[in-house]
Amino acid sequence: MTVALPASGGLEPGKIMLAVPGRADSVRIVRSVMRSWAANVGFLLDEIEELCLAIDEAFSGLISTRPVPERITVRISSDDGAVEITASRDADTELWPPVSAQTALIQRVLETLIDEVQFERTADGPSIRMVKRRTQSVPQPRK
Amino acid sequence: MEQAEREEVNALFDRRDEPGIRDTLVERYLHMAASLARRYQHSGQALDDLVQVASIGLLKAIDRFDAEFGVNFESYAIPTILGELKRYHRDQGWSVRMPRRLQELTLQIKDAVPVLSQELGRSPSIAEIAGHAQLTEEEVLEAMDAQDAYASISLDAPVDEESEGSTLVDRIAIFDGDFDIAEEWAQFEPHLRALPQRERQIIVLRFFRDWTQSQIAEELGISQMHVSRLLSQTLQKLRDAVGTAP
Repeated sequence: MTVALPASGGLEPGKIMLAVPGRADSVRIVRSVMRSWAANVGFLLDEIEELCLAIDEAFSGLISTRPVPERITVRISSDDGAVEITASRDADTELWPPVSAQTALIQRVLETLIDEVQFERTADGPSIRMVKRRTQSVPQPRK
Repeated sequence: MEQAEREEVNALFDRRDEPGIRDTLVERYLHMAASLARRYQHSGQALDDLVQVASIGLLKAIDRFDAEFGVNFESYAIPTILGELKRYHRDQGWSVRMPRRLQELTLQIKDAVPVLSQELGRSPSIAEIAGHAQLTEEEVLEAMDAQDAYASISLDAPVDEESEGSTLVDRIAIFDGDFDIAEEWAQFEPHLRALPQRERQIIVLRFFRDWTQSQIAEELGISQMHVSRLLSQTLQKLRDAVGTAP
């Protein structure tokens, strides 16, 4: 795994970027970072586990489309009780999102788990952007 | 089983405290216990060990069986023996794969979450779990990560030590019944219906009835993280089915 923290141009304070191999087993690394980040923001256990499920779905959508990506880039940030995750693949595709039943299923599942879901193209490549907001008032997050 | 044979067996159970009778019953049903043990050979455990564990289940069944139950002995013994095998399989798998420290952390968290959920009336935060279990937040997160890495929870896993072989599958069966497919899910209906019934029910509760993971966990008497892993496994299965469909 490579964790990139560029000194300038691309990463602001309070944001994190992960680059992991485009393989199914890399998802565990992303889930781990996601848990830690969401816990820090003050998300509840239910919400954290939903975020992890969403990561599974997004990852599956990104690596199951041909050509197989070598790298998945995940950018995570938080603002005012919401966490935003943008996961991207380095291999471009003609159609994004691809037209397939599997992608449609992933979209459905994500729409249930996450407040905002968008398939888009970013500088990192074809991406899935997700936003989840804290639903309940919780104690102050850890500083 | 013929009536005469059933009466003969019941007579043996009535006399099981007499010298030699219990051994006779064990010999009579040992082949059944061995056959059930073979089902778990794929788990990587030695067959001799599995047969021994199944035999313990058989002995428990022999000691507890009462003809007044109105069922034959096999119907009573099979779940008891399978329960013993499942518990052994889980405990061995757990102890082989997860370091003791992480096992202990995981158990502390499992104990803390339902208590906190009850007290707070909502799912707890990681900080609240850490405070309740007298752990650091890092330890809570480490245990959750470890569960991702080590735990292999299946719908056939026993729910707890007291369940005598009762599995998640058994508990989820309380939700038997049909379900309405929302319009936006209609294209996946054949795949949803093709899922094993109990796995389908977990999906239905979360995605069609909009239950939270906490609510599902409370209803099934399992941990919230356990629900999450079951959902993850079932969604994976559904994705695979949809992805490979012609």
